[in-house]
Amino acid sequence: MDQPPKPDELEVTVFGPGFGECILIHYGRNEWINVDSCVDPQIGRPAALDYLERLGIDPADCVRAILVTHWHDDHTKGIAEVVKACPNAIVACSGGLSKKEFLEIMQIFNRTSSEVGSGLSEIQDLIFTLKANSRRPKFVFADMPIYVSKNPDCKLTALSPVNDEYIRFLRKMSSFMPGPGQRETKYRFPNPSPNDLSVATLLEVGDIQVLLGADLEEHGGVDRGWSAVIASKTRPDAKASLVKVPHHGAASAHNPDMWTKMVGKDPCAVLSPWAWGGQLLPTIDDCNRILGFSREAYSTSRAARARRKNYPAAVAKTLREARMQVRPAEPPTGRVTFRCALEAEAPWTVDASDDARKLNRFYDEQ
Amino acid sequence: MIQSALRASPGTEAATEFFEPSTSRAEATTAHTHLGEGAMKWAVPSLAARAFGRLSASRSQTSLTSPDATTVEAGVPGREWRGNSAQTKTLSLPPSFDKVAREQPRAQPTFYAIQEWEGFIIDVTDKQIVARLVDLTAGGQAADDEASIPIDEISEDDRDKLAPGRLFRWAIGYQRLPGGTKQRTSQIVFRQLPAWTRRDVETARLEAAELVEFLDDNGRG
Repeated sequence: MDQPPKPDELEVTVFGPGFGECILIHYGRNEWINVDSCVDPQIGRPAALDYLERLGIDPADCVRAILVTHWHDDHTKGIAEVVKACPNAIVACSGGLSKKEFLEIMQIFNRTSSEVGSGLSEIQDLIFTLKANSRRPKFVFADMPIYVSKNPDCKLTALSPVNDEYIRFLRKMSSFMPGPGQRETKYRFPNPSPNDLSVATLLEVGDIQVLLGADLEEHGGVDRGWSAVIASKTRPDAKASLVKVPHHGAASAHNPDMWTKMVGKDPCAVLSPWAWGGQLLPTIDDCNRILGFSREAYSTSRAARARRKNYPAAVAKTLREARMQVRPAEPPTGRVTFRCALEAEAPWTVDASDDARKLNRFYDEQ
Repeated sequence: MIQSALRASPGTEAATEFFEPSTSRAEATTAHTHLGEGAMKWAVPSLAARAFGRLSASRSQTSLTSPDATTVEAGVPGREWRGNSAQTKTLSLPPSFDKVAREQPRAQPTFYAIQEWEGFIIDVTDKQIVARLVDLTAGGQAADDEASIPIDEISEDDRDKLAPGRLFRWAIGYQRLPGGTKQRTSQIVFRQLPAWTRRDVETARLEAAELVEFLDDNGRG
């Protein structure tokens, strides 16, 4: 993509994986919203800033709002850099991140110095950046408007976290506070599971709706996850024509009612893959399930991991002899861009980077 | 023992914030050091301390001395470390290994790292650990490599402490033994950072309270 969207064009671009996932939204007249952050290991900076720069767009002038739906390093890489580059944007974070239970854990774990980060380094960097610039963020909960613009007409509404998730999150944070029975050594904060505080959102631009599923999961009870979102009486009515599939397409984030009650007919869908240990999302079953709801489903990257590095011969030989493997952690960072005209009931047009795939071809190269 | 090797000497500024005076770990420190006279023998220069904290003593009971503590910085490509026991645990890249080796009596083994990573465990099974790694040799800024390491490669003394989040350094390189023998080795050193102390917790609570003042709506009425 080398041309910026037209002033009357809606654009939703999803980047990932790499470190994290990021969404850029153009809702008209060169005004943008940034959701989360993703660093492409190949370029070493936030993918959103790189993309805007290549389109000749100054984020300082054009980004009006930044939403942080995650708080763990693995999902928010580079978010402080994005916030610094967008001094005129309001910043919104998941409710709960302003509470002492979370902030104490953030400060404790950041007392460990490591090249791999503390697991809470990025969110601390973000909060310190905001504090240094007296930019107090907005903390959001289910059914709260995050950002509203009258002209161009745009509304971004939080669908989560609901109250139960918030309380559960704070209780879980407290359990990490060091005390009797703690581990003998400091350690990196573990990857959060489930993603209690994840902020799913509904974007409304004119008559067009986009459902951004973040990493919100499903737990079966009506008080949590997607079931709580669907049961809400105060959320906006939704019939989205584009869906950012929650949690990388995982079965743990699937609720069929999300597709039937909040998504319109023949929707487009997009996700970014995620690798962790031996696990890769989406699985083949996930792809097939999503394709059952959306024939126009895309992934920002392919299933195969990025190209292996060439280590010196002695290193490669040692790894081989000891049956140790070192490989890129993730598939390469890619992008899928959806655009449509605001004034007509036009279909979405799709543009994708080389590594992006239609979801029915996600596993073709493995 | 490694603890005594890392004890700060007179003239040495050691980081004491992680000390837990009530435990035997009081001697172990993730010290950063400004070397003073007489401190060189036991001093742990800053980057080495940052990298390793309290070194795992499980396999080697290694203590460290610098061949020239006024100039050596561990972890910086082009530098060398020497151990005073049978195994060397600290790893780095000397620019001129042969020159250094010629100038030093070969009473101690030396290690010349070709490749170094810092990592953390994300999964442990009875056969392997899976970890995310930052490639230090390439100047990596993020843990964008992933490794599967057979459990056999981990010291038996470390195996019961394997858990997600555990931090380690890993280096592959050449070890030169006192007799001059050169061998290719892989060395994994788990960081033994002392547990958080009551003081750590109190400090974190105070810092968090300041942030709450700034962030929380409730604090503003």
